[in-house]
Amino acid sequence: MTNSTLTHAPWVILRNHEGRYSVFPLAHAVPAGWQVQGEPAGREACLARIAEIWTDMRPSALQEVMA
Amino acid sequence: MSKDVLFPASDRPLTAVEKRIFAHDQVGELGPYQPQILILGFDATWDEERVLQAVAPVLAQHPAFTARFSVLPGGVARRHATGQTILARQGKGDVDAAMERAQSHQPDLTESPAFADLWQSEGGHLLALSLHPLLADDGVMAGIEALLLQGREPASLDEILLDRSERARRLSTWQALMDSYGIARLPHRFDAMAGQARIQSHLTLPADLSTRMAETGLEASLATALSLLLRRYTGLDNLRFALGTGAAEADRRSLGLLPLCLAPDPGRGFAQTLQATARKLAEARAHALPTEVLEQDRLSRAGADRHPLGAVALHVQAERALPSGVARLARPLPPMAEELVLIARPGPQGVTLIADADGGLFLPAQIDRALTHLQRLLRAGFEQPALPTAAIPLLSQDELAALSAPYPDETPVDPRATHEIIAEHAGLTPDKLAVICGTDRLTHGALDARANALAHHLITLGVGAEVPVAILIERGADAVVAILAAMKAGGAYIPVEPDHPTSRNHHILTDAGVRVVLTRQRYLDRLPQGLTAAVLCLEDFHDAPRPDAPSVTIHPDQLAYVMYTSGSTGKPKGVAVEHGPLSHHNQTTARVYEMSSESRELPFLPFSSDGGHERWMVPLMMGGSVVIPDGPLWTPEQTLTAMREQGCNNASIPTTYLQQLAEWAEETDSAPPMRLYSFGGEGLAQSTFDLLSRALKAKILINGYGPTETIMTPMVWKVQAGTRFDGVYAPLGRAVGDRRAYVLDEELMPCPQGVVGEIYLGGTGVARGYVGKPDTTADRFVPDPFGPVLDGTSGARLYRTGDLGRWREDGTIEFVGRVDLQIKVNGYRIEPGEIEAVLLAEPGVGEALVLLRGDPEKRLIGYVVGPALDAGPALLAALETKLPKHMLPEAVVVLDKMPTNPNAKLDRAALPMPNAQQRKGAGVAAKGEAETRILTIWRDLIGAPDMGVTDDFFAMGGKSLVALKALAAMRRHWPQTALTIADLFDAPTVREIARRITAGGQTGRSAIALRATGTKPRLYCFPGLLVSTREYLRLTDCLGADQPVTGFLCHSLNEEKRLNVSVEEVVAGYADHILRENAGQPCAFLGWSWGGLLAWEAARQLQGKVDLRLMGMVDVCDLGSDFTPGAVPDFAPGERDRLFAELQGWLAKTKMRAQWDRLISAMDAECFEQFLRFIGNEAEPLPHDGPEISSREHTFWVLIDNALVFRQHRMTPLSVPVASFSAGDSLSRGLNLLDWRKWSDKASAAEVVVGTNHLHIIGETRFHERFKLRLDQAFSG
Repeated sequence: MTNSTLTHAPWVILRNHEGRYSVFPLAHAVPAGWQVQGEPAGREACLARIAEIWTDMRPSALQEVMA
Repeated sequence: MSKDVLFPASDRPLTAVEKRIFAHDQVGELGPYQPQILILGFDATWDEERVLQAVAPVLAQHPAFTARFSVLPGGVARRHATGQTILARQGKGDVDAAMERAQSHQPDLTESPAFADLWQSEGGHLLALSLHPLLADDGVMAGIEALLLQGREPASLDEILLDRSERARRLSTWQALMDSYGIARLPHRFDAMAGQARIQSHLTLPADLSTRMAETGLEASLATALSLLLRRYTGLDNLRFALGTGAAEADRRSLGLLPLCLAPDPGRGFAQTLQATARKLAEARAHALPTEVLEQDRLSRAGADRHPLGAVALHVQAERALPSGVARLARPLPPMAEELVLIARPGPQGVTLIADADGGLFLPAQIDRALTHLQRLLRAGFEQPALPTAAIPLLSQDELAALSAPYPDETPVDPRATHEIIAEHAGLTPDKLAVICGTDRLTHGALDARANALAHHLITLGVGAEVPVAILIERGADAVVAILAAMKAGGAYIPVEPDHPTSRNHHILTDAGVRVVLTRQRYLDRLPQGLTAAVLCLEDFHDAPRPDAPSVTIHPDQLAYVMYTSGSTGKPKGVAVEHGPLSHHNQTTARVYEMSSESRELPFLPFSSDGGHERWMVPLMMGGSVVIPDGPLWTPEQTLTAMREQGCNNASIPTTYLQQLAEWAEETDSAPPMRLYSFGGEGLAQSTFDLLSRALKAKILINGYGPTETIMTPMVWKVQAGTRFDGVYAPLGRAVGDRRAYVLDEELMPCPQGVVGEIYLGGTGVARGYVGKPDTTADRFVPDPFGPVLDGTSGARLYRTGDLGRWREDGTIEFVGRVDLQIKVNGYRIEPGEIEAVLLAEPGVGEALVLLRGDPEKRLIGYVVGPALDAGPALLAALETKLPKHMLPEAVVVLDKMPTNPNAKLDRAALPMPNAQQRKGAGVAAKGEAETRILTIWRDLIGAPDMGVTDDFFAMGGKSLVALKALAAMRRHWPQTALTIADLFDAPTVREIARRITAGGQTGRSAIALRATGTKPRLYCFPGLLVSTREYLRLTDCLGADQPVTGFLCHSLNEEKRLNVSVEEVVAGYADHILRENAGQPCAFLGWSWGGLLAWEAARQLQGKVDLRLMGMVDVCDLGSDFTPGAVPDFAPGERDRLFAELQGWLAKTKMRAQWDRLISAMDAECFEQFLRFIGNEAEPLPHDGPEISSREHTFWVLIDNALVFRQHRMTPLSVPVASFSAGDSLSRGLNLLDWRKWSDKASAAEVVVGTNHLHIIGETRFHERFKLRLDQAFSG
């Protein structure tokens, strides 16, 4: 999918209800259960941003139990 | 209604397409050209009188019904309008009867090329017309309908005449286009073999869609949809298919093909794509050239595709209105020549698509699906014209659901964690054995109690949820106890193999933030310095086993383990797996594997792979037991003995080791009784699978697949032993548990079955991600767009495996290769793994590697280990029959072993380039003047500066033409020698040739033994123009070590050649040789091109003197009328003078003036006129690049020289067995191929070898195989 011909278009950061992050082409419909985070950008820029903001990779439910 | 109609040109030469079909007819093989049938039904409003009145003028005047043919001396045909067709009254019958009768007619060009039947049907009449394909196509039928039903004179076609420069300009435009647009084809079935019976599929598009297509343009709509389909099927950006281009109405056959070159942009909508297609269609038509010209251009290149314009052909038939009371019940079809022919035919219900395909290449279901996909593309394209075409789904939701579905498993999930389920058996069956390892024996009770004690202690060391515990203990009972303890304490275990490299282990121990290390004292020195974790050696732990587990609640999202995987680059990454998905996976796996408390498994996989853990966890979860090998290196004998002694019924073993086990078990007949073997880790070929089935005697075999990121073995292929799979590798199977497996393209769209894409795994059964690598995790685990639609999930993820696969017909997935190894050659995506697998299937090949190499020009090269070092060409020939052209390596190089670097990894840079390998000369220096001179000549011509006097001319890369040049150069220096190419074959080194020259030992022979010995009767090969006999080497290889072969040298290459010799004289020399060698013995002849005429003459001269079993005639043409004695050439006014002036002007310039003068002086007046005509007919200006052998001028000179030899020759009939073969291209050129049935009562119709031409047929594997078959039959019969 990294070679997608639609990927010249921007990508977006998505986050699901468990607090997991991923990236997706802006041109594709956002799959159910995922929300767009921030502004569209290049794929690498989106991944770099995720490296900064996803500091705790435990799913949300576990974070709550352990809090 | 009857009136006189005037048709033009009642006596004329044939058009290009007519010549082509005539040539097919002459060799007795019409191939794809089938009789053209039209059936019209007339209702009661047409009484019989009216029908008869309408039919009469058509049969009397339409050229399709009056055509007859004559053949002039030399083989040229002309068409006349001197015949007639009588209406046959057939009595009563329905359309089926009419069709059956029409198909039973066999129109032939000499007697009755057309049939017309009139039937009385229920309430009316049926008119059935059956015409020879040379006379009709759908356009001609349109004209016949016009004349028949409207009394209207059909449109008459003028042949487009282009002048030389316009033709050349158009051809160069097409050449450039075709060079950069790859031939698109649907993926072939496994074990594909072209040229089998055709299969057909029909689909009528809904009326509303048909209407929209018709409004927009039927042809452009379909061409657009087909281009999108082919793009999705092939991945080609620039693709080409053939488009039928016939006149809608004509008085003669006009149906041809143009290559349509399209590059649909997947980011654009259908509407825009369609506009682009319409422009390309208009351009293609505006620059049209005859099909034959374009095909000939392609086929003149080495390695041409057998469908040179396109492997898929689209024909759009025009809608034709009929007057009231008339119905069209059958309509002609175009030639079914391509791999897939798609015909669109408008009808009252809608457009019907007819897909006609080669059943040897495709399965019927594939063709059905292609039509469905085409309909979906059209439907979505017209309903959402702006949607990027890449986003149009080819699969329906139901199809996707079925293909991606896991093994069915309805059992509710047990919410407990893996270790909790294992612990339950300590209560249920405490004394039952759980773990056997070496001398260790642990019952379920003991295992649980020991793990409990350790778990309590670990909690005191700070272990809890999300805390990593490293297990630095060798595989065995203690390691299992330690792992269970870590989980019981709530921690996540990280297995670390003590034997693995220190640097890797240090990385693991520091990367994951390990808090506790469980190990042994003897491994302490393997820990990194400065490690802050608590270290506990098992020797120092003395707490008593206890029945109670620590009171720890496990959350399903809590980590169970972290497994380190080695990527192809960089440091190992820690894959973090949570308890919920792990337990679910293990539970479903137990059911798929049909495990129970009776299961006793021998897991051979290492603990550094997650599969190794699945295989002890699952049996223990079921209350069964495991026999863990107490060392990593058990011999096959030890393993089989352990299985038998310990009463194992399951085993899980890496594929390569299992193969050794099976070989040992087969040799020693020592397979223990087992229920199930599971294996995996690499591609498994059918032959290996057969060995496992046969030797291991287990009931069930399971091939497992799965990246660590998707937890252990997320896909399995479970089958009864002995199952056949039609594929290169055993299938990966389908998903297990709460997962789905997908094959997706670059746009994340599901691929149709058979199309290669990337394998994605989704559902809850995937890992959390990579420890400490949120960006890499986000990169590899992507949002799942399918789960919400198929299963109502929300926020699910897919793991992108980096593996390539395809859905098979049964919905299981087949592994094809790695995404990062996929390469593109000329726009085609190629998976080296697929080529490697085909190489591995060849006898003797143990290792295979296919690489794209070279700089700047990339070349696809295959390397193999195993077979004889000279087996490369034979392996390449084997690949040719099994792989499409674009997947063929340029060369296959056989190595003693694969080169490795100091780390025992493959050293790619050390792999030799094929030429470099062949050209490594020994470099022995020359002695004396003769050797020095010859060596200089050879080095220059071959381009091998390191060549020495003992190196073989041909092994150093000297090709046949280079050999001729070398000979010419040597003769120039030693004009007194009679050196021929035979000498070069006999004495292929500088030293040997020099000895012959100085000692006068040259043979001057014209017969060369290509294979000297063998028990079969000898085959003599007679040469066409400029044939040096090297051309027969590949044929000789194919015929096998037992078939002796002699080749004769073309007389034009013989230095003793004289002008104005006769065919009889040329052949007398060959005949003498055969008699000396073979008098009274059985033998066979092969004649290629004009060599066929020489072979025929030899057969005449040797009648009764040898036992001639078979004559193979390969593309043998009559001389044509160009130089036939008595044929007076036509010139347009002034043309002769112009040609004469052109000839004189050219003679003044050419360096071959002396040779030409000699040749022209040997012509009589009539022959000279014919020569002028011949020059005028040439498409290209006269060449003056001689006298070098291989120059166009020299070849032209030899052609004329031979024409003078052959023009006086007359053949006589002989009663000898003849098998003849014609190149597809020669038929398309309408060459005057000889019909040997006219010359021998023992000849059969020609076999057509399509996709090759006159020059290349002799090296074509498909020809070799057929000839070998005929030869074997002739010798055995």
